[in-house]
Amino acid sequence: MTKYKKIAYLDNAATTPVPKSVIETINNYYGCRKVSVHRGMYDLAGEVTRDYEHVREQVAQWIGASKSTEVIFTSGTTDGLNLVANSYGTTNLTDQDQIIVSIFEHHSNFVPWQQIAKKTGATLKVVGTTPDGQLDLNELEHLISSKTKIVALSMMSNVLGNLVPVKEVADLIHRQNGILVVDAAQSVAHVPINVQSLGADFLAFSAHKMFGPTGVGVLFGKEQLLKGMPPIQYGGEMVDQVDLKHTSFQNAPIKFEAGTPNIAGVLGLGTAIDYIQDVGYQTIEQREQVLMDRLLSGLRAIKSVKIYGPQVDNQHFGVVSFNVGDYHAHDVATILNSEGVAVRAGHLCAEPLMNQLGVSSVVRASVTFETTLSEIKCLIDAVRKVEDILK
Amino acid sequence: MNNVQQLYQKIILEHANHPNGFGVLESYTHQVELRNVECGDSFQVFALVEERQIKKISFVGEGCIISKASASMMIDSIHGTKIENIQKQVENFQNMILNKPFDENSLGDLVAFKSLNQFPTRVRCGMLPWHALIQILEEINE
Repeated sequence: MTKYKKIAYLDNAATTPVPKSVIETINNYYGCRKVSVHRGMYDLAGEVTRDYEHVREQVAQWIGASKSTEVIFTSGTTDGLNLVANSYGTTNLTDQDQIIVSIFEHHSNFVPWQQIAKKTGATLKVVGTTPDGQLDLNELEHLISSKTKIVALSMMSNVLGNLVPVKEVADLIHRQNGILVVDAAQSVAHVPINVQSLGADFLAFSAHKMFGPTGVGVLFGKEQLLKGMPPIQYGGEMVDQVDLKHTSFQNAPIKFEAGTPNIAGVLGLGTAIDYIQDVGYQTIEQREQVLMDRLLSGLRAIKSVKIYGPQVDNQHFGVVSFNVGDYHAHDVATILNSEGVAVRAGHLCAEPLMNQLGVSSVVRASVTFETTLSEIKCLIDAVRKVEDILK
Repeated sequence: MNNVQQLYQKIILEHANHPNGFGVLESYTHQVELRNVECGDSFQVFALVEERQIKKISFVGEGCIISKASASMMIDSIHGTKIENIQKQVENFQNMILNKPFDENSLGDLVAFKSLNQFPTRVRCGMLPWHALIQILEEINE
């Protein structure tokens, strides 16, 4: 695992550490076999292409896609969601249509839809939460109509840490012949993902939030939908035939992967999936629940701490956001940092949710199954010191 | 005092809790709003400038201890000052929090921010109201 220098690392929701095996895969590629994929006429290029394409199959199996051609490699979740908005959105939305997102979306699953709505004239509707931070399904049911073409929803809030009943939402939107886009960036390190049982039409995640390298991610899209979508980037690799006047394109997923891909990243992603599969989601969930119980009970024991989102145990999957009294999250995070505790503080790329919570910023502590109880203790001890220093 | 205690010393906490110059001026010639993109904090600085002198200056906004105290102490330090001298004061303050050579004697209470250069992630907070002031100076000099 990444060796952090003497800090309690509780910013795993921003990015997770990587295991040695992932670093070895990347080193091995750059050190011994850095060739390009899909094009070379020599054995090594064939080998690396085979390994690269093997990861596509591995991902497809891992997330329950029916074919590996439904797996597009991207630079990350943001890239994948923008691809859907710009390609599917531009082609399918008119000024008669509606898009629905939730109030707790990360900016990466909010701004692309807001902008594509402006471009196409479609209306962007925002579904809120119940008082304890859960998706307001009643409101959503009320909002969804035959005009709703797209519901774009985070599977897990990066601020509140609770899981969204994705399948129920899928059923609601499919009844109206709309599609469901799932942002799985936050959930992928914590719970298993199966695009079939979730009912996802598109689903995006990033490798770096699941023990993999930065700069690489996956967009899953249903075959029949990808078929009708135009590419949004043009260049090498993605073309079929080019003449002076016309160009024809490859089929999905290659038509969406212009240019030389992040080969080291994709190979590293494959190893990160191996790592998660070796540990198993059951173990991951069990260990995280122990950590979150300790974290939540420790924070609750401090009177001035206000926890956002669900107030019951076992509904925060690796993430808890809080404030200490009326102190600004940046001041609190500075004190925590001086005690060797690394957390995130700010609006967490979720300004619409911050406005609903009535705060400008929060402190967020986030774990993986690899986090230790002593790291949690460091955090709780440090939070206890905040008031002494700031009052 | 360790670094963090130095950063949150009494004078800074007092300015943050009871900031000077907080409010909107009845009449002003300049108004600038700046946001800290990391936390969404936002400050508006108002200034009444006559004969190249800041006659009155105030601010409103939401922020952390560092940005609020910095705004309050900035306003104390430049109230009634000539534009030419403010420019020097801004540079001097900026030099201090960027750990460059600076003149300690002319900063007065602002030296309380001396340890801010040990907290690179907070320099932006301390500079936020000053950046608004810099924008006002640019408008004046246009």
